[in-house]
Amino acid sequence: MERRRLRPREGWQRIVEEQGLVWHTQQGVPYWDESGCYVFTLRQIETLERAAERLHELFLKAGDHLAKRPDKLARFGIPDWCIEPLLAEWKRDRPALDYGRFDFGWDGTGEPKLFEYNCDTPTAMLECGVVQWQWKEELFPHLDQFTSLHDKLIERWRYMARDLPGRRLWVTHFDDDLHEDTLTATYMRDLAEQAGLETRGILIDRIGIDGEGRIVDEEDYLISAIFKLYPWEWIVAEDYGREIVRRMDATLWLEPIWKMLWSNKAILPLLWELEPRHPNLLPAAWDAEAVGPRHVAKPILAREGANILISEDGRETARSGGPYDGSPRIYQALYDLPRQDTGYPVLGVWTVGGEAAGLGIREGSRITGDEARFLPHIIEG
Amino acid sequence: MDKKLTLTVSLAAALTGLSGCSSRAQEVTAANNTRICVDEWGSRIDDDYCGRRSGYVGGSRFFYLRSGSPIPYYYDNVRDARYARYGSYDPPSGFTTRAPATTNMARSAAISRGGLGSSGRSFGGRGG
Repeated sequence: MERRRLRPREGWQRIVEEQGLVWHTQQGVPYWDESGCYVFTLRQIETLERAAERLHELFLKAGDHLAKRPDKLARFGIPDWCIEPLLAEWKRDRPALDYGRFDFGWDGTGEPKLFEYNCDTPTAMLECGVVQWQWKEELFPHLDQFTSLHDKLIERWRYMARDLPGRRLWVTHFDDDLHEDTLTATYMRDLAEQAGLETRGILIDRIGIDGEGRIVDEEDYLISAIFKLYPWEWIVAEDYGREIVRRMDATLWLEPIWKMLWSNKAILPLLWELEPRHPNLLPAAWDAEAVGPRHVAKPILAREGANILISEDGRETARSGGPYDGSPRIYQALYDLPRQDTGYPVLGVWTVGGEAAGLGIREGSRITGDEARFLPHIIEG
Repeated sequence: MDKKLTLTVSLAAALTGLSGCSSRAQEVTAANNTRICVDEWGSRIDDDYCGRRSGYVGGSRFFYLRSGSPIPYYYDNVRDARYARYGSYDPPSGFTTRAPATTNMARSAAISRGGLGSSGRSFGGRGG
């Protein structure tokens, strides 16, 4: 694993915009950063694939464990009234995309270590699935890349199509200023349509509810299956939350509500409890002492690296701000990210249905926040 | 090998003037004489109920729409003037087709809207 400097393509902004990545520059700084790339050997990519697939199995095991021991959900911050229907959905095992991104710390040697699993509303999908592939095809057509996300998601939608009434899917998202949500959700629509589904888009705040608590679109059509790029912890906290959970039978929600178990950092101490010798886990616990003097404190429900605190031998060495200060925290042993002169890389490995499906790299400060840049990669050797 | 994108690319190109990917349902019209299954009150139901030999409990039957007629969705009522003037229970001469699958969905009146999205407004997107 090596970082290589490159000259960005002439007019790269226009090129990636034409591929849908309109949020390529944020506050004057490139978010899509092709002034460098990471180079891996095939053996290193296989190590990442194996780590992600092994962890996916562990998350399944953790979900089964929580279904048998719901008392352990007390610290997940999930409203009490949600727990029973959530576990019922887990046991019901309805169709799901079952996609997500495992974020790893790794320097290319030994085993990658898991920071967290983003699997309810994972970002950087278009960058990983399309933009970096087109970049590689243009600059390094003779080399390979770890990127099958696009094709695996189409395959997954095709597999699920028969379970969607009328082969129809609604897609919803928040109307964000950067258009990142809009285009990521639209990309998902594209993939579903390529799998033969008919899709309809609706902004999250335009969804309605009928007299029986079922959700309807702007034309008052009952929504039978919906992909939402909007976190479950927000849905259940909002006005329609209780009705949506009560009428879970009326709509197939993608991803399912049980993703609240996996995408919650409260699962990290449980994983460590279940498999304390797992090669891809860092020690994690509810109290700092249990993981040692060099650790990271993480709010269980924060996003984009917000409200993280790094502590080394009793000294605070890094901290990020954000709106999640009130959230309970877990502690995870500190992993020293390999330092480059341009920042610290975090490796996001995608899986679809438990199969490794691609790699996206973010490079930023010691705490990977929303200012972290996306860098492409290639496989050489 | 290119990754095929249609909606994403066209939306990205149009985004300077658009917000969101919201789309409205199109009214579907019959390309040919079309039969739909309705219950005893005239509400459209799945064709399977008319196809069963034993019949639908309560008396389902086919309703025939002329070519060019708007096609009702599930639970829309053919007594509604929008549909009634285009059709009848008497089969027309010649062949009839089934309604397009895109009309096989149900409608129900919203009693409220806007009960989702407030966290997105507070936190500015979903992140992750």
